Amino acid sequence: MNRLSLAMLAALALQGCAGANHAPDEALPVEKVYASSQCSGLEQPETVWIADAAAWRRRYAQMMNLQITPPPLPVVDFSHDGVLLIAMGQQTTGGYGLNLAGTSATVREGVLTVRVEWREPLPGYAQTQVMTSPCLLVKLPDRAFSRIWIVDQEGRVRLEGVR
Amino acid sequence: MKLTISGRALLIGTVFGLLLQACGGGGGSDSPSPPPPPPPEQKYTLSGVVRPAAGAAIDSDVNDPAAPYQANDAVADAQPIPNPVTLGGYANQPGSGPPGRSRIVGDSMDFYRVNLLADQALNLFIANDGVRNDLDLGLYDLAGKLLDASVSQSRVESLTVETSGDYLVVVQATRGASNYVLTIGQSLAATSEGMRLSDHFVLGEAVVQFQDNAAITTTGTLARAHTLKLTAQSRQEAQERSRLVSVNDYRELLQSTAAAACIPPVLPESSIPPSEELQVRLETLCMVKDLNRDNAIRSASPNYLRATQLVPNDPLYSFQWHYPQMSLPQAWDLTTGTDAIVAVIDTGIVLSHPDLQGQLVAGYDLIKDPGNALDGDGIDPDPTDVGDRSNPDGSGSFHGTHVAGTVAAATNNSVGVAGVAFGAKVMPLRAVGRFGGSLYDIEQAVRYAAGLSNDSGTLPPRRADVINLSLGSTGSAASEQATLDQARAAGVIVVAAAGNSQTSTRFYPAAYSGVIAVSAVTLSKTLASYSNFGSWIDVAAPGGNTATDLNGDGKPDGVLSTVATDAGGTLANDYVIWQGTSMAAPHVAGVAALMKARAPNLTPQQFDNLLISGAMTEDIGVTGRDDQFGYGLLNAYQAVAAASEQPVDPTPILAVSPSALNFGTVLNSQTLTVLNGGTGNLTVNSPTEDSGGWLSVEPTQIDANGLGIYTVSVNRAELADGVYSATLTLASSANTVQIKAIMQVANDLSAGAIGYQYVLLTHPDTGETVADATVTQQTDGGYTYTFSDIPVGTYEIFAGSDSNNNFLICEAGESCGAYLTTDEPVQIKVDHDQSGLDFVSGYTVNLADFQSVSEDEDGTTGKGLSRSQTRQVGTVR
Repeated sequence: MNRLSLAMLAALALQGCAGANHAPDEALPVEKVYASSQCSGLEQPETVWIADAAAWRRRYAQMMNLQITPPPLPVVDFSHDGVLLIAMGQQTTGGYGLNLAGTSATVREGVLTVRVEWREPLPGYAQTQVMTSPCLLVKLPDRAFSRIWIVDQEGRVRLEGVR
Repeated sequence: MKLTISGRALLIGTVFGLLLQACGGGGGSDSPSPPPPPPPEQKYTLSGVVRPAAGAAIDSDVNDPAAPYQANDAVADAQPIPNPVTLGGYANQPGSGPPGRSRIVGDSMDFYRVNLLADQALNLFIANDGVRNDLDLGLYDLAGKLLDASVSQSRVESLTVETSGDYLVVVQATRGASNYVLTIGQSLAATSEGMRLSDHFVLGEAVVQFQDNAAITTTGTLARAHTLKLTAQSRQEAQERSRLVSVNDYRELLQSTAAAACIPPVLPESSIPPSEELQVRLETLCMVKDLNRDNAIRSASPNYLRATQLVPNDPLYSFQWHYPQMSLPQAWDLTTGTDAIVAVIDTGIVLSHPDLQGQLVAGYDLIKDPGNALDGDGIDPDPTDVGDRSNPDGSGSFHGTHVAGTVAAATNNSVGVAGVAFGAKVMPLRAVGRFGGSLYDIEQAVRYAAGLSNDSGTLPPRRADVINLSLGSTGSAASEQATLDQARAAGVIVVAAAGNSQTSTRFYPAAYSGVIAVSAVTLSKTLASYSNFGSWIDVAAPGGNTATDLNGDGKPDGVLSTVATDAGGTLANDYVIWQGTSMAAPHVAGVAALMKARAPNLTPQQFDNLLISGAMTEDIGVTGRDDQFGYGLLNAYQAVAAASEQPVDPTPILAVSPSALNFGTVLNSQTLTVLNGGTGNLTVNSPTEDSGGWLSVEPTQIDANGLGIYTVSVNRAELADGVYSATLTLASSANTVQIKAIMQVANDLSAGAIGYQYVLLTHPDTGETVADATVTQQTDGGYTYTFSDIPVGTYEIFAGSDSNNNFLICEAGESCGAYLTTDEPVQIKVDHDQSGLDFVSGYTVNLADFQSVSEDEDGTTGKGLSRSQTRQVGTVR
């Protein structure tokens, strides 16, 4: 969807719901459940919402298959929470980092925004020559959002996704 | 040497003799004047002595009634024999073999008593086929307890002695009859089929294949096999194949409660049974032998347990496809890298990882900036990888631990993974931190590793032999090239990852001159999609591709090695599969360490020369050097083998010949030649020895450096009977060589060590026996012989025993000699009396003779020289 149509929908929604209770801008508690620089199968940069246990199990197993002793599947109660996958995509060296910035995410006008520290290797330094694919998985309450933005420490939108 | 027989050799000779005599006389007649009678034929006498060869002995009870006889059929009568020894003998089951002393009553066991040294080899060479005439070899202690046995149906049985001591060695005729030669201590490279109690096989099992047979019989072994579901037909299979048969199945199949004749577990007068396990082992092997004898069975063998050193027991080794890809297991046969040091300049190391214990030497942390180091300080002696916060949650990558594991993870320790040069040590040098590695810090780490002055203010106790740099950037500096030049000049081989940028743009430090640049290949030996390439690539090694699982082992096709994780704040050790030229480089660094272990003087230039010559690699890609793989995919085995043959500049090597001294029972001195087998200068110290007095070494003709000829002497005076060994040590300015010397004192030698000798005069061209000598045995073990009335002619002289009494001497297993040597008998021109025609008779073993199967049923080989039959009469004792 482009922004224009989204704005029109939002306007219509607002009009259609005049007087009804709709969710205000909300700060959602967000918690990291897994992070690694070697997330197998995540060669493309993307952000994906995982809404049910079966999908979570599948995703998790795929990501772990480089490790001999993967940590156990983190427990998520999908009756009220979901998991957001944030993948930087395949990188050619070490030195990339992806951390959760802050303890909350926001939902505004149907857009979930998560702030991250998005690090890339500093120029001028030699880097380790291992292929990496960093990812960060966070748990947060399920809300009515249809778009996802991953924003870095400078406010740039690094990843966009849809639900 | 094979002498063809002629059964009628004697007959012809006799006729010839008669004719000569008949022609001697003659008379006149009334015909015109008869021709004058020919002058009387001149006859001559030939004589000499046949001496026993050194180290020869004879079974004191053979089949030849003319031979001296002393029974050795029981523990109490065990025949003492020398060591080392080559002994000829004969054994037969009652009713088997040629007529003679033991044919009817049998001589099924020969007992010998001997003092043996650990690691000596016992070999039994069987003259006959080994199957219908099957001899077995047993080793018992003096009380008669079974210790080991070799019970195959081949023509050679062999055992190795585990501990020094006094033993009974028993030769048994399990079936039929045969001459034999038993050697002790001689290092003949004979091997038997492996039917030894001490071999590794599953107890109580045999691997059996039945004969292809379409018809099901109602009785017999095959019928029983069918009932037991051991045949193809009983299982609806198209073809016969191997089956596993247990001892119970065997008893059912062959309808027997115990294995037929096999070496006895308990000797007749002994009451000491062997250990329970040994009894089961013996039963298993005897069962296999029995099965092999049954016509319904095509083949039977023990269920051998094969252990090869090439497969480490590390549980995750099977996932490390990248090692067999470069023929690494074969290289481990040659070396595992002992004494080599590989510096891994990286993020540091997790010292506590279980699979790196014992694999490290002290390292250093060369990171100057505490903000990069994250360990609270700048340069310090602790190379611990505190984590570079490179993971999204702030945990560390522990990249250095993965690289170090590829170089030298502890191997065959039942833990984790294997490493390339697990006999070597890793020097962990930390130069990569949170931001990466600064070029300056990396340079300091290279200097430290190479034993060059550096910002740490210290030097390692011993410099590294190899440096691995699984890092880089496109930036370069003249100072860095200069440092690498110095490291190379100091003798260090520097290896670096080519980079993962999928480009030919030069990547450093790999692209510096003098550094080995390593590109990455996948499991299918193609260039990994991420790998750099270009004119500066030197060699390729496994880096992997984790997007595939081409070998179907359930794991992504990357490089598996040691790692740690500290997600959630707790450090945990683990193993992980990664891909990258970071993974390829340590394979090369590890192989360089293997090469250095094998050729310690190998220089970086020589390494380069070997690489350029193609000796170290499998040429993949375009033939010859190419930009993807450089000189090819590294082959560890070829690389190590090539390094071993590399001539190194002037390297002296102490070489001593012979490599062992065997004085036997009679030799008093031998010469030792001491040389420089390499190049350059070598000085040898005075030899030392540890005999305690009976051995001495004196220079006979040596130069100022101690090279030349020495005489090694032994003195048996006042020593008790027995076998003595000592070690001579020659130290030099290069290596040290040790020579083992063995000597026997045997004052109680049995006379006739080569057996009763028959001495024959033969025709050189036909090999036919012309005459038998009169032979007298001497007290010193020699035999004097005389040929009388020998007409003018050219002849050869042979001597030998006839242990099996089939009137042929010089058969396999019998002693043999010829004037002057058995290999090239001298043709004697007889036209006057001759004496002093002395020569040696002894036992020889020609391995080729024992590798073919002889077909004779009646216990003879059909090869040998025939001796007189008439000699036999009147000499029965």
